[in-house]
Amino acid sequence: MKGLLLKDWYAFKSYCRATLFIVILFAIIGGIVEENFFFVFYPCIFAGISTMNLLAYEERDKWEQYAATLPYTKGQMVSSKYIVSLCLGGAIVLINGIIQLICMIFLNTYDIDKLLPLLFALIPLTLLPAAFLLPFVFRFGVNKGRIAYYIVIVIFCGAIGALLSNEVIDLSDKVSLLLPYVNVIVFVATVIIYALSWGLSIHFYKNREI
Amino acid sequence: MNAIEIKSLTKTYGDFTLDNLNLILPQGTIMGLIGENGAGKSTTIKLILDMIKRDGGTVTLLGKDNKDNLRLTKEEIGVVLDDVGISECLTTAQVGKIMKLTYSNWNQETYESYLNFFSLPRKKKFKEFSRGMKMKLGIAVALSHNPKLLILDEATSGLDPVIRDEILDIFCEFTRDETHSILISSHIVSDLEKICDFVAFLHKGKLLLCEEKDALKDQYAIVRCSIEQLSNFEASAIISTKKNAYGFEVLMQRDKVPGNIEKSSVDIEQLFLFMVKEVDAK
Repeated sequence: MKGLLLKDWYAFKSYCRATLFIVILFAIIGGIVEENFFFVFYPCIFAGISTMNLLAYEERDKWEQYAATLPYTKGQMVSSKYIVSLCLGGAIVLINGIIQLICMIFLNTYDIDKLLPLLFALIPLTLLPAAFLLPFVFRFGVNKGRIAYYIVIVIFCGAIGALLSNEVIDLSDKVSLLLPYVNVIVFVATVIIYALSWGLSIHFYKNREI
Repeated sequence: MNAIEIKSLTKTYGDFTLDNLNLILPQGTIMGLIGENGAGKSTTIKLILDMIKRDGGTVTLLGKDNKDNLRLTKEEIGVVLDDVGISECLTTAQVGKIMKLTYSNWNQETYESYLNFFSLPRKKKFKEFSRGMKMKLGIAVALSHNPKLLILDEATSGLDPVIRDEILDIFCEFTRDETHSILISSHIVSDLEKICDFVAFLHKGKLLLCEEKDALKDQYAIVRCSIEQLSNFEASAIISTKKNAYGFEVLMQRDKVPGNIEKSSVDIEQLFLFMVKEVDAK
């Protein structure tokens, strides 16, 4: 699988250089301005779907068919994308951690209790977009997969919105009890969703004709 | 051992069916898969490589079922697809590094020698290559991991005659080792006629014929004749007829052509066209 990962690294360097630049730039701005969540979070979500962009380029180049002739299993082909996504997520958290730390030191606002939750929040933001999107892409291909993903997200958000606006469920008391543990809960949920997504994508791709 | 054995292979897509295909590619030989666009050549190759699911039949590659750990078998197979499929952002040097991590028996020296032979630049990206250069790179990769079997899908289409000739020479050289074999599909029949030991005709998903090329030339002949002469020929000797402005062109069993009638050799393209015409007429 090393060959696939090296290929993804070359493709990332070639196609997604701007993404990395935006993440760094926004992290610096986010480190300087107060109430910085948008600047830190937005490019992370953006970077989180870079894996799908790599798949879109592969589909255009017919790499998918070519890779199927190389000595790799379909599971390895899927796994390489999840590993790339993990590496990307790790790199984003690291870059943001370093930049936020430097900014805090320079601005004399160093506070580990602010920094750590911020970095914890980045993990789901970078991993979940890929976790939700990739099974659709591996099932239907990039274009159809993207449309299917948007349809499911719209239905999901619409259903949640309808439930909450109709006061069918009121979870506010229960949620407030969980607040102290929210970072850990979100982190564990992210790991579980990511692992499920990984397995589901392998299952879908094994059954897909290339 | 046979390089490829296909038994009763069937696949249906919408209104297309690859119907009960049986093929054997003996080791040390080149087989040309000939057919019009949409005849089922690429489908056959995809089924051989298990890229699509078959509805029935079996495929054995280098003595192993293609459902049985195909990843390991692919170490011994070089494939060139019609679109090549190498990512456009990659340079030849990067492709070499990727393949070094992909094939356990990758030979960087062989790869470099093919890049030199084909005059392929090291730092230019794949997207800047001409179609001929792209195909050459695909072939260089396919040949640089000591494969025993090459599977080539339209690998010479769209190339100029000089490049095609160079590439065909490389394929002939490859099969000088009797453990090496090639399955090559093309609709450029003249290319296949130059290098193939066996030819297989596919038409609308059906195998019309699969035989040794030289045997076909011995077996069939073309006769140009009038309608009166045609009516005197033994019916079982006639494979197919074509009417033209001067009379009839008839594809016949060579040994059943009457002695007083002039016969000419049939080339593979003519044979294919006659057979397709006959099938379509039925």
